[in-house]
Amino acid sequence: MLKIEHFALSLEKERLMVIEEISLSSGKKVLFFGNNETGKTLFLKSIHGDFSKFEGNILIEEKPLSFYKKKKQSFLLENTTHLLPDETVWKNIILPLPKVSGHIKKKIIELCFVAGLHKKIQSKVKDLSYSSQKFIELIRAVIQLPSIILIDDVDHFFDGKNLLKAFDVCEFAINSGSSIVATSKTKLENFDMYYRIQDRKVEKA
Amino acid sequence: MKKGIFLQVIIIVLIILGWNCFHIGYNYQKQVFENNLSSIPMILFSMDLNSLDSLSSDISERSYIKEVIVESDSTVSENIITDYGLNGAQNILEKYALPNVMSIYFDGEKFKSVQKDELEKIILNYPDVVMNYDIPSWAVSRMKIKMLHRTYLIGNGLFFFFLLFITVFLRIHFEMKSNEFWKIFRTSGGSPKIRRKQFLINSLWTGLFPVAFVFIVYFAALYFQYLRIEIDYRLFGIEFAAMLFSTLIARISLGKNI
Repeated sequence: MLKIEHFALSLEKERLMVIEEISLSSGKKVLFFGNNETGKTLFLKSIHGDFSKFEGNILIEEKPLSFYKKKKQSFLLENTTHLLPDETVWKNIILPLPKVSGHIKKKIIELCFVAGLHKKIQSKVKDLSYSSQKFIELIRAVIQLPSIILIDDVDHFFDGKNLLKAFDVCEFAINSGSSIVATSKTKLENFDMYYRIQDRKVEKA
Repeated sequence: MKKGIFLQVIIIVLIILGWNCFHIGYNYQKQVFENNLSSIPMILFSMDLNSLDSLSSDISERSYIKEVIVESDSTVSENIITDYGLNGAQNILEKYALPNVMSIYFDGEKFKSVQKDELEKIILNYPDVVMNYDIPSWAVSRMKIKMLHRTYLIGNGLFFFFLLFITVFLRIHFEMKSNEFWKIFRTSGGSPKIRRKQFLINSLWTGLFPVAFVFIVYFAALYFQYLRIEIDYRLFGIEFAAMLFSTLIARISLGKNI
């Protein structure tokens, strides 16, 4: 589903990360962990197609990233939130959906319940905590069933308990074939695969 | 409809309404000057009635001639006696040979310098005909019409650029204001086509609706006889073209934002 070959990431002539080859099958939760300034964020941005100054190939569903230029197959959850603060939780979740069928509506309510947002559906986003806002973004990504959900610095906004909730939310997408690729500073539990970024190398941990 | 678009539509409707009031005002004032010009007849005298009849048949078919009235000397004499109650002076008048009179009324819109020169040349072919026409009044009226037309053209230019400036400014302002929304929409997985579609819908609201609305108001006013002065339909086309042009400029200026 996701294939990375001969990947090398540099910033201002300084090499940050090298990956010889990584192949991820669908429906997996993968964690890349490493210290600050190891290129984790740029790595996720590269997969998402927001950063192109890298060497090597990234293939999603055996197609290069240029194929997904107009219709992305991944979602990136960054440290900054991309929500409409004066709109409700519901409005923010359904924002990108062309139409909301009864089935989708039911699923969103179900996911909100899992994330603990069910009582706040009509609340304005600006009145919610940072972690709740991230859950809104996660539900919004999950409901669209992308190929990959990329979560940068997952430990920054989800603690151990919330991370389990986040996995429960993601379960819907994972069961439909989506994969979760996350980064963190330390190794976190409950992922299917782990990669450590150390000394510019990415190794299976 | 969002507040921003509603505000733009209101402003554009007001400008286009103002522009059409300007057209109506021009047509009304032009009509006043032309009626004034039409009301001044050219009077021709001749002792020979045949000359006047011949001249009448020469000019009566011309487009700038509204009406030609030829009165023979006896009719003139009768009119003078009737109009001024000079029954006692009938015998005196009969002793004098009065000239035959021809009055020419003009179409104020068409009787310009070229036509006046042409008519004077024709009259010169009849040496026994004496012409009497209030040329200074004609010249003043023509000058007023010319000045009015020039002001009208300048006014149209100003309205065009004002409309263009305001609409382009408003479109760009509101589109840039909504940029943050569209950025979040796009990041959240929304299709980029939706913004382009929204821009098109907004363009229809700001471009087509105000012109169509003012067009309907104008026809309703004519139909219910609140308005008696008609304006050229093509002017609505020019107003619509101005709106299309402003949309095009706004679209080019916004570039990749859309």
